[in-house]
Amino acid sequence: MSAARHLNRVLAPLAVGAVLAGCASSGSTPVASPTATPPAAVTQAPDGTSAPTRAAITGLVTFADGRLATNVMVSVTGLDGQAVPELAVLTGPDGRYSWPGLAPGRYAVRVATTEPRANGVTQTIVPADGTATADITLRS
Amino acid sequence: MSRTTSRSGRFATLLASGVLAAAALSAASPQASAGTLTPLVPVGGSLVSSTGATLTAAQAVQLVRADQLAGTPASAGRGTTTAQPADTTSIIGTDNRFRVTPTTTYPYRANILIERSSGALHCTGFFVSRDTLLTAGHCVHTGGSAGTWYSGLRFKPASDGGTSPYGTCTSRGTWAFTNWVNSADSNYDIGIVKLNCAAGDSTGWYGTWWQSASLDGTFTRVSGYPGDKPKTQWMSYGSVAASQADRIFYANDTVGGMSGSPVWQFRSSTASYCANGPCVMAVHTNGLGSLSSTHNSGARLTQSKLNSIVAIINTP
Repeated sequence: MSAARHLNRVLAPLAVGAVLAGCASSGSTPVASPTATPPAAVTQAPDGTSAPTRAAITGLVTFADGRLATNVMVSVTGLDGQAVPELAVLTGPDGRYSWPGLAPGRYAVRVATTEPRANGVTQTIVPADGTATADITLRS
Repeated sequence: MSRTTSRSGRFATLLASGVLAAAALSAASPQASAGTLTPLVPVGGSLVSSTGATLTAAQAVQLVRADQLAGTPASAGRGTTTAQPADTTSIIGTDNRFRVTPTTTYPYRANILIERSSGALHCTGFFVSRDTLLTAGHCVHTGGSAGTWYSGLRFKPASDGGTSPYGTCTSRGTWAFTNWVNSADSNYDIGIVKLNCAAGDSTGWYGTWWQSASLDGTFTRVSGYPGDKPKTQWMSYGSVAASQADRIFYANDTVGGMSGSPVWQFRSSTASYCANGPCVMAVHTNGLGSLSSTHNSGARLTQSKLNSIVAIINTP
């Protein structure tokens, strides 16, 4: 790689970042004109309004005999019409999980395993300003 | 490398002429003719990065080449198909997903398993250039003003059963649409990551296109890394059941972990845009829920969104 090209690779991102940041801070950020507003038919998520809060559900998943359920997928469903992101959330080696990025409201939390075949479900409420806990015991 | 040089040169020209600032103040104009870069409609396409850098929709437009206005072409890259057993398609119950194997064929090798820093499964992404991937916005930022950026994410192109045939990459620039970061607007739930590797040279990448016309009835493939089939790639077929300006709904089966998957189709050689290759129309983001109780859905690629995406693709 030539010295000039190397310099180019190093400097270009910095220059762009600096200029972009400069543009923003100079007050030149445009405001969408009324004619450019998306049509009213566009559906927005219920949590897509002003100042939404995003919280998490955390918990411990165990089998009925007390063993930890590790590396199992934890699914959540919004019971108040929340749009749930399709993240993969699995329990860790300690049987614990953390489901991030959830809007406040009621949720059903489900786990199902195939070996052994067992499942569990519980409900919890994510508060507007905190984290909810939902431990699950799997039964066959 | 000529492409990189030319893009850098273009940035230098933009910086010298102050065209970025000028563009930010200019009024929207609906058309761009070949060879010129007239500002298009700067609506809702602004980006913010995990480091606080910003890119307005108007600035983005200035970084888009004339031949990229309708989207970007697909590329198979320079990768070779590894000799592996034939596809062992399997169908499980009423689930219409089937496993993609081997994952080293194009375009499936351009799909990326995204893991958290702990190694836990997280999401799916896909290459749209040699070093740029798209994923769901919620895969890089939890969304909304109280949200946070994920750090230390690992990106494994074409990962299969714990193998990473194209290595593991990390981010050197993480972006999301301002509407997602500020207000968790599902219509803008798209993240863009500039990687520290150029595995796309080997894996190839998906093309992209937008159209203002309805996508209803359009055939859809959704391929990615579901959490219930850890670290293996799966795909399902479907079609667009409903299209909105910024969102499409389809019946493809998906589960957690598929967020960030491309919603795509093979385009014919006579297609008006993004012809003759695998091209993406949306980024998968949500399963059943409030957005639809009957169909899964994704954030639709639009002109303004693609302007910003292409602008990041074009950065060195």
